[in-house]
Amino acid sequence: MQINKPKILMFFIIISAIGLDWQSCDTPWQPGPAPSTIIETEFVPGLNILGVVRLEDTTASSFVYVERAYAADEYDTWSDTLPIIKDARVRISGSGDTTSYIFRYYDNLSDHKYINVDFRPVAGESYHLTITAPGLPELTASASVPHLPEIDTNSVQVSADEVSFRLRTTADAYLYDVYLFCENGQLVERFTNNQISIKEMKFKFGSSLGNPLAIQIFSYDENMASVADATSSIIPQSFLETISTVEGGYGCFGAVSVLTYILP
Amino acid sequence: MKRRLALLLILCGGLRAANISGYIVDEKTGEAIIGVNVLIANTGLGAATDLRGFFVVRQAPEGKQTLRLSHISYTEREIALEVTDKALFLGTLKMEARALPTEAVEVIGQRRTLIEKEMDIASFQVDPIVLLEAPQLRDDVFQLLKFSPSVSISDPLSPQLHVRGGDPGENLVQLNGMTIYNPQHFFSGQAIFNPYSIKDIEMLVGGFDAEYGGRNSSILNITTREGHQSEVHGEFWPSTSGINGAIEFPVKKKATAMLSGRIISDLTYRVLMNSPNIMGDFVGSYLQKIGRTQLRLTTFYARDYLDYSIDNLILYFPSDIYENFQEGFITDTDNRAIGIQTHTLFRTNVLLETHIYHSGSRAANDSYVNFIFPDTVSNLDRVIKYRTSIRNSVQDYTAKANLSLFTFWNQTWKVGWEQSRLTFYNKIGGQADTSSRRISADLQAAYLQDKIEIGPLSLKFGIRSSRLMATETWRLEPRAALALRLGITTLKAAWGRYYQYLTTLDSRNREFIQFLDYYYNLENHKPVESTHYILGVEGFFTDKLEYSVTAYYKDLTRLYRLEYDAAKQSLELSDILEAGRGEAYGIEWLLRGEHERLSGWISYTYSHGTRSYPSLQNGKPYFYEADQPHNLKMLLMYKLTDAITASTTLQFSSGYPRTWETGRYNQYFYDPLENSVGGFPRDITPVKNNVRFPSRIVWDVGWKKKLRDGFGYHLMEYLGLEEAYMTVTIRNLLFLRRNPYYYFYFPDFGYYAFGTEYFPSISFGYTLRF
Repeated sequence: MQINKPKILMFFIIISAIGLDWQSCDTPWQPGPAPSTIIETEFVPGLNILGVVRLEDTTASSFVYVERAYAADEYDTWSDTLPIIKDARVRISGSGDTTSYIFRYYDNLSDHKYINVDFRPVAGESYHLTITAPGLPELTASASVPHLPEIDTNSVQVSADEVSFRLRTTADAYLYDVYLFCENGQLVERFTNNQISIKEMKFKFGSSLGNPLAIQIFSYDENMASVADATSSIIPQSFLETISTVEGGYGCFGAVSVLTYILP
Repeated sequence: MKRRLALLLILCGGLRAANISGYIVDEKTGEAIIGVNVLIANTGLGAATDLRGFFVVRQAPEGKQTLRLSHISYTEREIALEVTDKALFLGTLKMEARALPTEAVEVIGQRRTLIEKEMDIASFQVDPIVLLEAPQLRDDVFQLLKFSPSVSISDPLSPQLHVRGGDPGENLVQLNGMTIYNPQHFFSGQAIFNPYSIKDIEMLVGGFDAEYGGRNSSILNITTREGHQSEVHGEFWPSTSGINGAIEFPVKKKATAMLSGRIISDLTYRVLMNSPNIMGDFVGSYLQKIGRTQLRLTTFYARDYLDYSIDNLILYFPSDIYENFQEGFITDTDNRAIGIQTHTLFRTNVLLETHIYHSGSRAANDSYVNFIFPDTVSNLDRVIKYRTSIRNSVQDYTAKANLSLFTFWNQTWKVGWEQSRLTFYNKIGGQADTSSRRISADLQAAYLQDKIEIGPLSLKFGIRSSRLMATETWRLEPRAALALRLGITTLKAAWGRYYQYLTTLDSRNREFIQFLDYYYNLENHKPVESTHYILGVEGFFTDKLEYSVTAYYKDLTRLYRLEYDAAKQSLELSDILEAGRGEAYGIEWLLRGEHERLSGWISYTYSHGTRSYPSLQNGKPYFYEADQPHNLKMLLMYKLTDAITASTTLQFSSGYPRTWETGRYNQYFYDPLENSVGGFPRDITPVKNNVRFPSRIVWDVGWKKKLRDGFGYHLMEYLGLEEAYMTVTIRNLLFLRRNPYYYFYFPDFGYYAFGTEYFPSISFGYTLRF
């Protein structure tokens, strides 16, 4: 039998190519190829907080929630307990008030929030927050309580399927959430703001919601507005500017004023 | 005054040079033939036809001469002439197509089209036949352009192209001279140009003539077919998801027309996921010849609509999953353009081109993800409220005119004027909507250019002057280029300054795939500015095998950063635009041509590009998103027989830079009604683009066969059509070779690379031609 060298060579090349191809596979159960580093970057630890100075007639509605930031590969975000800090020293002081309020952590009492039952914020007042925790940098922040908006009571009109009214906004509130509460549910409208203005509000609702009962308006200061309107992060390996209104850590310290109006 | 008059008389005297001009068309179809060599026998004088089949042979000697017309696809023709000292216009000359023996798919045209090939230093020209012969390109112009050595990408799923270190918003795309904004389909990422309607594809990647302005990175010129002068012809491609086709026909004695369209709706998506979707594009072209004037009307419309909501999948999941989970997106975009062009030859030395058109683009994109994942251990619910909402439109009304003078010493003077009214509408929403912004601006430009040919040396000098608003000062954009022919080798150099008066929003980190550019005008701001320096050498190894080596440096003197989060806070550009700068440099090798039955090109590019902005890393430069230092690309076609073409495409490139997170913190969501806190992990990314993803390797093969038997052939016969083709595409031949797209962290496992171009696939297509 005569050997066909070109065919054998071709066969050998094809088999080798298939073998190389298979060797280059990244099978699904393997992690796959890793990226190479251009610039080594270190994680900077710090506290991560949400502090809310809330202006309303309720005791201890202002609070500070305290965690810490964590390294990317430190633990499982979804199954481990959160890195809540329970032994921080949390102090809030007002610009027109020499008193400092120490906010305390009450285990199993306040949803991991630091609270102070004596703290009563005032509209237009600025508050300064200082938090220290063992092993972490000191965190400081400031926030101003927005003035309450005004509902023009003469403009309030209620019909079977609509509630409308005029709202006078204030220059120190940057974001508003306006709720209409009905017997069987509520409607909400959110809008940004940066000046004193008259805004025509109109809620249309179906009969399933029942009769309208009340309007509640939440006015957020600049800090709360910037965090509330920030886009979340759901795309991996994308550059994100840190959303923070605090110094020496992460998170937000802001203020919200609450106005409730019972419909006639 | 007398001196000026004398100079004018000399110039006018130049207009009386014995130039020979005319148009060359296909005898049967009447379509203009690009790249016909027109030579005066035994003189070495000649020219090549442009996109309209127009040529001018300069300074023909007096006496009896023979004009020789030659083109690879046409029978050579000779014409006897009596040349005097007066200019000679030959009217329309016809050439007869000839049947070619089996040989490679032509990739080198001896062509001189919109740009002057012998002078142009930085272009990528491709015959659109490559789109039809290589099915793995998915009939997509942008897929084809990704094989240009000058193009890099930052996302394999996005149609956005980066040309020589530029940003996608710096690319100008024109259809028959009309600017097309957002020329891609949202749904598939494909270009909105039907390959069956395209006659020519040309991309300038730097060193543009003074005629071009308004974009700093590249100019893509797409030219459509003109129509058939005597018969009805066309082709269409039916599939389960839609239909794609084009038809050419005569309208009257001296008028032809072409219509093309695609309508595609993904039935699987529509039926199984209950998501309405449609994607379509339509082009109409009408060409009328009136004496020495060609009048062309072009209309264009494209539309994308997709409405997806997780609620539509309720049939497949337990209903309680939706109590705390909503997800969906709606995209609604359209593109339209209409314009009239004229091309008039006055005497043989003066060419006037005018163009009036309207072009517009509108995009409305909303996406949202909301869910609450109760956490009973830490008592801090995982909450995400993700919403993006973008409304963007640009309307463009443009009038322009170009005048070319073919004067003494082989000079070609070009002078032109352009006026555009641009209207922008922008609205950006997050959790709350912001107010909208509508603004109009007038863009004006004028240019003057001279090209001189002195033996083997060609020089081109031009200056463009432009301004955005009547109140702003005129800005000068000088341009210069030279070409020196040394036998079969040509040395080339170019330099130019460029201004761009609009910028685009970067939504890359907010949309999973950035399909669109969202345009903003730069009112009261200095324009985007760059300067190009280019040096190259090109030549031929054989008649059909050419090479080029091109080095470039781009000084990106002024760039702007406009990101989604900033734009959401304010629509005042002075608040949210950040000026920065950058640079890009590289060297490109290209080997392109034909050898027996093999044709195509191989290229290798080494390049880098950086950006720097004061607010990012204290202004330190970082690699831009599509920085891929090494890029090897190959597109080869092998004509097995008259009826079968096999093709292969390979891309092997460095990975693109990405931003690696160093840590995480909970981004809090405050519920004012409950006065409670929720949170969702957010990455901490102190340094932009601090890692490079692994290298990317993609290898596909394709097969196109003219049917001579079987069901497809008999269907074609039954329908009374002329030809039928079948295509086969095999993708990702490097089986399971992962090209990571994202990394996800899993405890006890580490980071897992999630790939997209991963599993091999095979697909089939069927085309009918009549």
